[in-house]
Amino acid sequence: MRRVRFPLLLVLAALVAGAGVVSSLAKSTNPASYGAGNGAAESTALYCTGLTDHKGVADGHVIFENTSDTGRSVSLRVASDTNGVWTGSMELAAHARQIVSPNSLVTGHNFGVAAQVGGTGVVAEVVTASGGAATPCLSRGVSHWYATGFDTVVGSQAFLSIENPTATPSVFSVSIFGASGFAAPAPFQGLTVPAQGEVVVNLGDQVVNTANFGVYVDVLRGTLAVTGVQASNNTVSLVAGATAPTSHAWFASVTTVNGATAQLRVANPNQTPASVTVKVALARFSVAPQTLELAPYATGVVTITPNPAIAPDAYAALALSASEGVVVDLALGNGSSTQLSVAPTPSRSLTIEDFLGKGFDAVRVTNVGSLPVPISIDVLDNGAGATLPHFTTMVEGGTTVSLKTLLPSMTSWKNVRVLVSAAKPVLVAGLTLPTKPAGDVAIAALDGR
Amino acid sequence: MASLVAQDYAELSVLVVANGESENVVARVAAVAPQVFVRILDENRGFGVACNEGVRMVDGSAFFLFCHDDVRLESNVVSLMVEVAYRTNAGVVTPKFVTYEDPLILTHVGQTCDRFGVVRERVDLGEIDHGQQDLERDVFVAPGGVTLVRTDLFNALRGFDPLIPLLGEDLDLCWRAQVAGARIVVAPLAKVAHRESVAKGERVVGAIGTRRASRQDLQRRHQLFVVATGWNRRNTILTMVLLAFLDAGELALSLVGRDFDRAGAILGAWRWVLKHRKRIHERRREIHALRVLSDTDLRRLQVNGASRLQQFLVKLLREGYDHARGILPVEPVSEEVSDDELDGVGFAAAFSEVEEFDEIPQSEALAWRRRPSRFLTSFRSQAAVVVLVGVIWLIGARNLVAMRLPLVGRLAPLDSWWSTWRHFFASWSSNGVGTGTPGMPGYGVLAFAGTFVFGRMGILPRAALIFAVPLGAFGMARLLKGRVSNRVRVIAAVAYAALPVGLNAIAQGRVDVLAVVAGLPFVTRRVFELMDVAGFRLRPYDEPVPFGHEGWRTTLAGQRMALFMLVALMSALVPSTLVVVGLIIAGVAIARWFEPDPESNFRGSWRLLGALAINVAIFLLPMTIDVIFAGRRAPSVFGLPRGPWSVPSFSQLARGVDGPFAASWWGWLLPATALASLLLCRGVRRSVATKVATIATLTLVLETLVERHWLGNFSPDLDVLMALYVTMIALMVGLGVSAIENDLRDVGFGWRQLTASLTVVALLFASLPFAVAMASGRFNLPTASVASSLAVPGPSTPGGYRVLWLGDPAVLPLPGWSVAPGLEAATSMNGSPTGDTLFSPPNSGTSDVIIEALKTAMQGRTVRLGALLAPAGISTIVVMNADAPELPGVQTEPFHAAPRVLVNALVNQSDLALELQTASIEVFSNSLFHGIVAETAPGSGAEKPIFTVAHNTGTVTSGSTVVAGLAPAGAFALDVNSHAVSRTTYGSWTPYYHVPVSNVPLTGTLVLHQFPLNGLIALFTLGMWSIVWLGFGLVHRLEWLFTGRRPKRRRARE
Repeated sequence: MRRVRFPLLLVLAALVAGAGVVSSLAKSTNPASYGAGNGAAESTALYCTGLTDHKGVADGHVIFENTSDTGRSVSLRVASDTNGVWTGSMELAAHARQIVSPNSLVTGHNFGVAAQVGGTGVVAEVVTASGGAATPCLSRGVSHWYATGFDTVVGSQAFLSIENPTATPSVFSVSIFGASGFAAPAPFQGLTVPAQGEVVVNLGDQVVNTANFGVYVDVLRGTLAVTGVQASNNTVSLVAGATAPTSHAWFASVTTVNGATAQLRVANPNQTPASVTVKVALARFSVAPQTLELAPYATGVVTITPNPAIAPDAYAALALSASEGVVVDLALGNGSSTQLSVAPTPSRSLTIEDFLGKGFDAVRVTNVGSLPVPISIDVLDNGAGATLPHFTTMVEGGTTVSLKTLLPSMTSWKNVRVLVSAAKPVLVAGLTLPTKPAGDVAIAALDGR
Repeated sequence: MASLVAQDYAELSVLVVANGESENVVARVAAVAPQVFVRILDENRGFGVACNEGVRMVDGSAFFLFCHDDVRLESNVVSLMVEVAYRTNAGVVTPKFVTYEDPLILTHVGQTCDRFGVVRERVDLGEIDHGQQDLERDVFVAPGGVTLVRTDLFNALRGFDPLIPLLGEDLDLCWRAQVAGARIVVAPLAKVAHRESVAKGERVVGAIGTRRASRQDLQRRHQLFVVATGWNRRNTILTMVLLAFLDAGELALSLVGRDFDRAGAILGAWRWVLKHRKRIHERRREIHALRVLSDTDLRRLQVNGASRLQQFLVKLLREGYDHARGILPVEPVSEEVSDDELDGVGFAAAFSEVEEFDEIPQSEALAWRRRPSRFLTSFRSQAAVVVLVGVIWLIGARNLVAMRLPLVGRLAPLDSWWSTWRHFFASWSSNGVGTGTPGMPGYGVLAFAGTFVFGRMGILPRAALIFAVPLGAFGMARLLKGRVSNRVRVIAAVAYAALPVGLNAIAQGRVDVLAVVAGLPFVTRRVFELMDVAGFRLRPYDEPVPFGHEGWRTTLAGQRMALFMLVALMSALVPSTLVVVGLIIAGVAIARWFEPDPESNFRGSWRLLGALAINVAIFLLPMTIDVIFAGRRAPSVFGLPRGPWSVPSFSQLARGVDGPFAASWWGWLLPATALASLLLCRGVRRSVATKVATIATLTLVLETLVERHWLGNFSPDLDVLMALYVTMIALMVGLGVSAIENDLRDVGFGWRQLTASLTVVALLFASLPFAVAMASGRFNLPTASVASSLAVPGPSTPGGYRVLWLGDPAVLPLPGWSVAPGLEAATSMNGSPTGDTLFSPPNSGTSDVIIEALKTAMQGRTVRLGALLAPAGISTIVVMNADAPELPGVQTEPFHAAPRVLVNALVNQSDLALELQTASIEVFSNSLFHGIVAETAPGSGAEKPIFTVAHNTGTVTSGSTVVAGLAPAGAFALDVNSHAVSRTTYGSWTPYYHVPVSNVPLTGTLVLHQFPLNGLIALFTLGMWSIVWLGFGLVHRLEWLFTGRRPKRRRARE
């Protein structure tokens, strides 16, 4: 007589069913990232573009700063739009700062600077000579680039400064969207950038006398470093752009004082309409959300200041949400003279640098998450010395804290570096220069590792 | 006659019409029935004409009862039939016919026919009369013998057609009666025994017009005649065209089967009908005048389909081709009824305690049902199927014979026979950045195989592509030899060939998987035999004899060694074979734990597994050494992890599909058939089926774990695992069919029969798409590959170069090492992959520098990957997403995309240039490439490629530094003007040689300085194989060479 311990077929059926269930668990997707890894970076790169010669609107320089505790060797390559090339290297001591003026190294009208760093910890900022505009250098090229808020009305000019950081000749196309809908001007299609070269695309050549339009750069081959340059009424903006439309954006420091101008310039790069809602958080007032309906490929403006629905109350924190991914830039200034800055990406660690040496008007940090997070703040001077002791505070979810409130001495800081970090990538920072009206110049956060 | 006289119907008058039969008819009739009238006709013009003559002599009767002279009526037949005719207003009434010899066996209870005039019985052959047919009902045909016809109807129909003397006159009369709107009713209580002496051939057909005509001729011609006149014009054309097609098919089958009688009958029928076309026209007019029923109504009374075709197919399935085409007669039903049987029937028997009582085990009907189907039972039909499948296979493989093999899968062109041996013995191989590990034993196996093709190594992969699957199918048939019928073996073998793994392996150029597909059934058979799985050990092992003696092979030890050697041989080519065999052993052991085999004496499954692993490790010593020193990479000897985003889904795993073949719904048919076998098998077959199912399930579970990467570095090749899975599927299909043959007949009708029917249907359909794969003539093997389309993917500079191949392990045309799941890295030197990179040791060794550099780039920790790879002489990086380009209308290739992070990382490197980008490939060139061997001249920081690629020699500059991207650094020396120069590594993996300052021209040569340890290991391995091989009795046979004594057997013969 056969002795059966347990119904084998039942066990087999259970195993097959179990395998089926296990296999149908969340499917793996082709990864776009394997994380930062454990080891230190063997090399990093910084790509800086957007600067022009003396005759251009964005004459300026690149400031390199070594934020690490050891020296770094930096290989530099400066390329111009007239095929001028300069290569060289420099040693950056720990916490040292070095200024590179491409205008003095190579002939041309527009410049791109590529720096290859032996290690990590070096950051760089493109700063215009007038000191009104700054944008961080990129650490890697992009395949897609979006920005909005450009205008080519009389007295304004807008162009894209494009640098190819790789050894691959790149091909890209530029398309426009705005009040008149979508346009892909033929001269802007299939443009090439030689390997490690620099080109300029003058948007005004094809987009004539148009206000508030958005731009999409589609890189068909290779990668590119792109900076949008907008000059209006003697005010220059260096626009870092975004690599993808977003349905959420936060701005920590938006001035609402009388006489100032603050606008969110929003573009919808999709084929479907988008509904945009902006929540405005003021210290003493409660404000109804501002809304905006955007047709496909259209642009629009949410005016924060002046806005009769929003009481003047120093700085506001904005949280934008949209039904579709949109492109958002913040225009700050006074009257018709405004400067564009991009929406910051939530990050775990922020380096806030006073490259212009003017000090800070406001540094505000928003926790975009829903849970409270402890943040730590370190303030270092350029000699690497700590000017203030290490400071830690708790920030509630969805709220904004002002460093000025936490550290009253902040208004007197000059040439310092502020490091803000948290356990989770939920921080965005907004900082403005001391201007009148208060805080009408925004400085973008640094990019660099 | 006596039965007619004995009728209880008072108004009956009997007229005997003698059809040309004058010999004592009157006296014979008078002796039995003196009151009967007799009419003797001058000549025999057939039954119908005789009836017509008789009718002319009768006046005033309401009905005619037409009787043959070989019938026996029960006494109430006439009265019952007349009563039915009145009650139902029937025009024609037919009784219930039984056999003349046994009144319990039914022959006719009315008949029906199809649109082609083919008559179909309403009772089964040998059906016992239990009264189950005793229901008055309308039928289409009243079979001849005893037929009651209303007089007015008969007159309206103008009687029987004189053109039909016999065999068909009943169909004709009834068809016309139906057209005229008359009912034809069966009176089942009227019971008539009919001898059917004409139909059975007991009596010669002698009517005028039937000379030289067989019964078959008459039947066919009369059916055709009825059909040609029975329909209206449109339906006649349609029916005749259809019938012409059917007859043409039957004619062809008859000619193939040398059944010339049937062929003659078919042709004769058509000829006869054409000859009587005038009469046909007349009859059509007559019938048209009679017509009451439309064709649509007439069709409704008939059966659907073509009865003859259906009968052919049923016979083909049940009794085989020879029976179906009529060469062999239907086996006569035993007509003997035993006393026991009679005893068993009765009131008391209804309470029998025997479970099978209700199935009437001794009944003829059940015996008919239990008779095994003869489809595919004769050797001739089996041979025909095998030849047919073989021919189809060769047609499908026609282009593989001569086409240029693409560089996909493992189809890299083999090196020469001599070079392949050299790779086995080599102290250094070019894998990665170079390695000094022992040569993989796969080279030895390939070189050994190359000996049998006289060194024409190109034949080997081609032979694998063409013959591996047929060889595996043969192995499947051999696996089942002695366990099941030959028919089942043929079916299982065909199922194995039709399962998708082999075909997909061909389509992907995976000759390594094909080696497993070819060998696995043989291995399975040996394992089952050793583990004493029920029915697999056909005879006991011989008594133990010493190793080397004749007969050792057939002992237990010899059989175990044969298994070990077979597995070692396959593992040399495909190391994951060891995993597969482990699964077989584990599956049997686990199944036995759940359901112990009391008949089996085998114990020690795990000891067998351990012995297998140890012996294989010894037989493959070079690879074992590689594995031992591979550290955490050791498990990768069995395969590299594929990208979880590109591995087959569970549904595909369950179907055994990893490729284009069988990716649609029909891929489920064979697995479903296999599953059905679990339900159908009983007894020993079930015991085997559960073991096979356990192995299949274990395989499926392991595949799932591998797919999810839950086993870390242990990631056996999924395609090899699938080969085991489909082997088990084919085995279960065989067991299932065997169960249908044997187990199903012993049980009552129920779900098992339904499952069996579905199984048969699934088997039929499953093999059909198999033919679709034949269309390309190469089983969808690409005609062009991505790798070969790159031509020379490197610069034509001195110093040599390497190409770094990156991509999912499923698409790379050469083996390498895993960088991350879904990303394999491998290198080839100075061009595309060739025969020196067929096997890759699991130990990556110094090649880790490449893997680490790639990881660094993917983690975004470097922007100068080109600089990191330049010391290895890597000029080009090829990222593959598919092994062959997509060519619309020519080839469709599955995509296995490389990790996107890789491409993103490479694109962002400042020293790599994207040279080519398509959907299937991305090619980057290294702007910092400086050759594998380069020199730095004094005072210059730049490295310049030097030396010829072929001989690693050339002029060097005085005082320069030469760097060679060849690992290990200590294995090479630089001889300058025949003197070795100093070497340092500066902490890196590359050797730097300092060329002395000299005024004379300097010539340098890179030479390998390695102790030939690898060669000695290879020699030891070869020696071991030889000794064990000789141990299979050859030592004993060759003993006389050394001792002068002849073996006993030969002496005895002499």
